[in-house]
Amino acid sequence: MARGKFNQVRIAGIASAVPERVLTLADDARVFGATEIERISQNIGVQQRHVVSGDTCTSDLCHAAAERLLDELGWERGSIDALIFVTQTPDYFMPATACVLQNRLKLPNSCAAFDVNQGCAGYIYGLWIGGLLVRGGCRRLLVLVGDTTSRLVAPGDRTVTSLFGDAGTATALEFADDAPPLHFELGTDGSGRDCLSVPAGAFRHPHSTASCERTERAGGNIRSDEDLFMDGGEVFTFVLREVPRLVQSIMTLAEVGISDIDAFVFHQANRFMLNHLTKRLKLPPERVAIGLTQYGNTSSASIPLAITTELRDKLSHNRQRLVLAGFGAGFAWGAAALECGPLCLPPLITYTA
Amino acid sequence: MVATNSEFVLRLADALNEDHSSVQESTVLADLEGWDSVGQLSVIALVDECFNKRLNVDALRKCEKVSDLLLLINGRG
Repeated sequence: MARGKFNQVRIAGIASAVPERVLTLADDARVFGATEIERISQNIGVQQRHVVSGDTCTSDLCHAAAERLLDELGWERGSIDALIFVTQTPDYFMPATACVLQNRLKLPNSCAAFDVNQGCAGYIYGLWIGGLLVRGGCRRLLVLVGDTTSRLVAPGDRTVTSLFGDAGTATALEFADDAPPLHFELGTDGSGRDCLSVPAGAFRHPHSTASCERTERAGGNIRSDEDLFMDGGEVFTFVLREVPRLVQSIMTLAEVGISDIDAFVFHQANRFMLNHLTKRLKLPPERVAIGLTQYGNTSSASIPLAITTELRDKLSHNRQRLVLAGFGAGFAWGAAALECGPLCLPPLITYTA
Repeated sequence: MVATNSEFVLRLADALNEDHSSVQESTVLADLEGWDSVGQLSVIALVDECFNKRLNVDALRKCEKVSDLLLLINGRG
């Protein structure tokens, strides 16, 4: 079972970057009409999102976040033993984008670097693997997590276009004898693989003229098989099935109750889902971070981005007890219960190409 | 919380942004403007809240009338 705890791993800091360009509901209303967009936005709670322009990649956003974080921490580049890049929007099929980032960040050749293909559960995966690497001998490492989902979204698909934003983040972990324990639980149900996917363009269904042709699908949405597809109903049902149980289970493992937790930071899927989880788990709404109004659903980046934008004041100065939970494409899910802070938390970075 | 059928029908109308008077057990779901993918998410949430049940999404989409939805919730759909 992928469930357990480990000591001696300290979260030193988190930085997040979003691209400069902003798309708003007014932009969507021009495509789909104001009435429909108002109904969708009331439900998902997203007013605007930051999206990349041109060929800006997730790695560019994560690079900006990592540069800033290393500078603010004052960490020598030579002291970084590993770099983990978690994304579903890499630069290339090969090599791993982590190798590109190792070079751009001028990290030493003694640094291990690899990609992890995870979406909305990706931040938990990154922290978990990072923690294991610290326990395995790495002194310091970077977990770079982000997505540029806007580049996978068909502009004529109302189920996804006004929901997803782009962001890249960097989290610094290091060995520390006195660090409080980190608790993790992760899980997978691959029977849900088709419910949140880009069906074609890799090796199972390679790119072809047909696979990139945008056609009208159910609900009048227009997309190709190389665009992002989301079955919102199936995803929501999966979340209701797994996430309340997951959150209760991680708190049992950490031997904490709701009143012990300073903030619950869940994947910022959409406002409707966050509200429902809050109600279902009987959480105090003021302790559930909501950070998607201005940024949308930023996939793997949404948990660290919400920490940067919603918890910065508290976490910059104090120790906080947090419960984190990510869930999405796969289906994959993961939760963490941890104590951290004061953290190095630079203000949100606006990335300009 | 467990709701009776008539309480549920009222809350269904709220979830779909419809007047209470326009949603009866005999109402055809497709005739309601609110019965789109967003409305269906609200129904899934409502059933989870009222009956602690996770609806099968395919079965939900196949419901023609409000009464079919009630049958589905009560395990006879």
